[in-house]
Amino acid sequence: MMNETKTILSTTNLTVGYKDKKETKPVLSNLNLNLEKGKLTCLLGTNGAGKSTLMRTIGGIQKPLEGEVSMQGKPIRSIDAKTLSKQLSLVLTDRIAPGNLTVYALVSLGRFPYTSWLGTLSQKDKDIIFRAMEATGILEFANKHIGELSDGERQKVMIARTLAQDTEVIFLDEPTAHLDLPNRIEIFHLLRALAVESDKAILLTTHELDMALANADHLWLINQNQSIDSGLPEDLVLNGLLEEAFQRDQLQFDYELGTFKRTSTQSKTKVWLEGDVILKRWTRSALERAGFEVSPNASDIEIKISGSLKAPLWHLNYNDTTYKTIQELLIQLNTQ
Amino acid sequence: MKKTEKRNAHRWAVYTLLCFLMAGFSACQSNSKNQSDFPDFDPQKDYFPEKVSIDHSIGFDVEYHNNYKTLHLFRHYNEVADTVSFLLVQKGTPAPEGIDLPVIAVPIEKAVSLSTTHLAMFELLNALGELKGIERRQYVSSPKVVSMVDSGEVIEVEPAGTLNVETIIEMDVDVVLGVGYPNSQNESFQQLQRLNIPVVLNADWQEVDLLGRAEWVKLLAVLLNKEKLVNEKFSTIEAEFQSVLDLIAEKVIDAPLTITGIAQGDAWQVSGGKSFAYNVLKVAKADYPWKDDNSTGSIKLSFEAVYEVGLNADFWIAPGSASSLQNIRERDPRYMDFKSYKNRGIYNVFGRNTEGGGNDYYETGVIEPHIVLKDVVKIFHPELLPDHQLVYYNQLK
Amino acid sequence: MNAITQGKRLRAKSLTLLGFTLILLFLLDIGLGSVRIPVSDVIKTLLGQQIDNSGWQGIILKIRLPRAVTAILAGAALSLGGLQMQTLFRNPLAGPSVLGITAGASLGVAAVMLAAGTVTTTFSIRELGVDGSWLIIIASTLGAALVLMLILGISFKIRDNVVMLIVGLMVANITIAVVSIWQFFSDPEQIQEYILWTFGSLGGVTNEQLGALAIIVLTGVILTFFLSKTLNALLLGEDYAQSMGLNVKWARVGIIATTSILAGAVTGFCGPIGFVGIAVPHLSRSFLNTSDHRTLVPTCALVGGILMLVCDIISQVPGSQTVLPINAITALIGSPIVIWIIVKRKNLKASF
Repeated sequence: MMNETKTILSTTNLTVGYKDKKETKPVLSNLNLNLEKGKLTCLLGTNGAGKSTLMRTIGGIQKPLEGEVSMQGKPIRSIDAKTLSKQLSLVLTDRIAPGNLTVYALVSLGRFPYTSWLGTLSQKDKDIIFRAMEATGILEFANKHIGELSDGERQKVMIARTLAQDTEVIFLDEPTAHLDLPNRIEIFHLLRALAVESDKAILLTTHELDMALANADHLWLINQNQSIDSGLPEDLVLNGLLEEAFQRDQLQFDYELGTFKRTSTQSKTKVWLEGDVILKRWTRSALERAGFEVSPNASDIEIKISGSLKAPLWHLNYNDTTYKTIQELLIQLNTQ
Repeated sequence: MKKTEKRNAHRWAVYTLLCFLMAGFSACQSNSKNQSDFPDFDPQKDYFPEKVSIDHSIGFDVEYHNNYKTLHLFRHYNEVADTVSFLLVQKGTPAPEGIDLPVIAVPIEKAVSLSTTHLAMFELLNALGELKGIERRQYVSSPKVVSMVDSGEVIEVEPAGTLNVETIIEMDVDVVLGVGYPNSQNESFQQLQRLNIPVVLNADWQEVDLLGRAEWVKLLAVLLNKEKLVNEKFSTIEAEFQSVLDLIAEKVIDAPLTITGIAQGDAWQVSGGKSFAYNVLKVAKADYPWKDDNSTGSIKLSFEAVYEVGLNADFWIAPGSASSLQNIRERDPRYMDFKSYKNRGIYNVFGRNTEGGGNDYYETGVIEPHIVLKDVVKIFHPELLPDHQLVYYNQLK
Repeated sequence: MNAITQGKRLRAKSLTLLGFTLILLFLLDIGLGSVRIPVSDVIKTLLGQQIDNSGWQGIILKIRLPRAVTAILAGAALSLGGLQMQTLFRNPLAGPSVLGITAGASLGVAAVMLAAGTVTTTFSIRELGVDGSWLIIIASTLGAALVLMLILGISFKIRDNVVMLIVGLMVANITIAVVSIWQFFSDPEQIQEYILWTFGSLGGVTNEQLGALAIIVLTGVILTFFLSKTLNALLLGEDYAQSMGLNVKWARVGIIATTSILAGAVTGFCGPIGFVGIAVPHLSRSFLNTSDHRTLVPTCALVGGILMLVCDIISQVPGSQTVLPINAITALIGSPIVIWIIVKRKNLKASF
């Protein structure tokens, strides 16, 4: 295997979960996973599937119920905290807001494992902090206080802190959970770039399917058997494991759009659609929401889309009328 | 009880309590009986041929009528005095009609005393037989009373810090002699009063001089119908006291400078210029830095304010609970700078302490004002009383 | 990174300014009091020269000087205790007393003051050969240590700091309950003596005791400074701190122990002085607008000393013969300051 040398963290027969005096509650079992350098790996699963538990376990915070986690071949629980902190850094979900701390001070906390007892920064430390801030694009607010930042900026600061910690492995727990779409995309792109350019192994958890599919080099998919399917995102889509993992009643994976949507058991009016790919995609989306089914076969209702992207026209066969918006088209269809 | 000083600070509690008592008693007085119930009653007869007059005390007074006495207890607050009154009605005679006051049948036969200051008075009036209950054996100095407690003749009614009302009710006493200081158990007193057990509050802490405090023995005598005996005994005390005063007036020229109290926390409480404690020193001719002060209680001063005068004061009287020079030194080594420390001029009132925390100064000392005065004179002007040995006061060593 | 050096310069400037303020107030505290002493005599005495009035000399050297030094030590110690507790528990209302350390000290003092009346204790205490103020100090230190041991024992079992905080508060409550039962069964004079102790006092520390207090407090201050880096890591919470290689358990033990030394000693010598421990960290943070403990530790120590000196000057009511209890003054002066800062800067919440 070509990627063998790239593997930095692996698990063997790992079972994670919780244990109290009375019983053990395994959350995920029989995990044999490899985390590789230079790749952005997404741990994808529904809420409560055990993403955080797995991350805490392979991060060495929590004890595994069974099996082992190895960092560069060594069992992670045998590595002392100080050494581990130079190999693995974290961004957690806790909202950290020491409002009086400046961005620079927070990022420089990443140098904690390397500095002396008082935490005095050497020139080398300062250079690394500078590069971390540069890489995450937060240099301009180095002297701002954390309390003054937006959520997206704050998340970048937390990422910069892990970069300052200078570890080969970075874990991020739901890094985009509170962010709006542009910020989400930005963070994913940033992480992907960091993984590839600085040859780091970055693992993040997310429940956002579309972001994971679009950005992950590798996917760890929590399936319904309390285990994990590992692979290239697209492979997991095509072999149906993704659909299986998120399987719910009335939920169906749309292989064309790459998202899940609700299915209805009611019999639907079938519509035949023809036209430009993009126009067809959005028309279909609207029709399906309104309760129509777009059929690949001929149907009584035929809609032909013409015109340009900016000025499309919809022609309905049975009354031979042309509409300028989908809204008008839907009103006609619904009055039928 | 060694609480005289501190009681001052808490007068309000007493007033509140008294208002309660007054209201309570006036509400439950409706037991007037017909005169025909008393066949032997002679309305013209003076049932109390021997009378007392209150000459020194500001805390109480007695009015005599044919078959009853009216006892007034005064509580002074600034210029205003509050009064609580009782009718002391001769047994076998009817209570006067139309006077809405709580009634105590005299002579009383069973009494509970909640203050050690009463005990010596009972003894002085040969009335220990009438004493049925005391606060706590631990604080008692009198060996007689202690043995009475041990034999069961006298019962402890407050053995664990709170007044046991049920014990008192069971004892079926004629009167409870309480203490008018804040810890006095307001609720318990109200309960007693609701059950028609009169509570007469001793407030000798507001007396301004030794004789005034001693004169409270007359209140007990009035309750016991022992006016004749008390007049004899008290006039002796008065005479003795006067002879000491005469001696002072005759001989003393210079008044030594004296300080009082001790620092607690950052503040030093000294006796006020109108206080009882200072009055004792004043009659024995001592000079006092705060003699022009108008407080009847104590005044809080900063440590350095007292330190400055303490350095050169000849005497230091009643330094809190300190009973030895070692005590003084350990509390604060700065006291060692004082002239009174260097010259052994520090005195406290622990001459007759008991191991349990009782102090005869607050017991027998109350009815021996002449001895107390002699003690103080001996401290300030030893040449006046060469043969006198300190009784209640002790020199710290 | 020009701004970084700028921040450093500001820090140095602020610390110098605070240092000067402290010295000024220290001299003012020595100069003012019930007894009016001319400035020239005060200065002469402080410079070691003889003055005509030996009483004044005694007042300055034996009363005012130790009291002013005590004020600085107590202010610094309580502030650093509060700073550490606020950071450890990430709670703006935490203070040096949250873990029951003060309550433990109170228990020790209550044991001495309230039990002293009974025959057995009076004798056993006499046999120990200690009495007076040292006895109170030893008792309160033992009481604080007792509660501290309990808290440390529990802290090894509990991971969560919030749980730890609640446990500390409950232990404090239990301790206070024991004291109040004790009070209930005690004589009024004994209770009064205990209550007077709870008012707090800076003037009770004499020159010989001052040495002991100074050594303990300075040790605590140095330990706290050594903990700066640890405290900084804890700003991000325990999980982050652990991921950065910090042994959270031992860090907690170190912080709790240091706070106990600081708060326990001050409570022992001066009584339970409230408020300063909570207010000064907030004052310091907003003064320098930083959460970096390497700056906050010296700042808190200075601001704590300054605030305590101000409170002491006020409690002496200069020019009058009387004094006010220091504990009331710290709350009266400090609370409005904190309210003002919170309202003005709105950053109390953002600090955690």
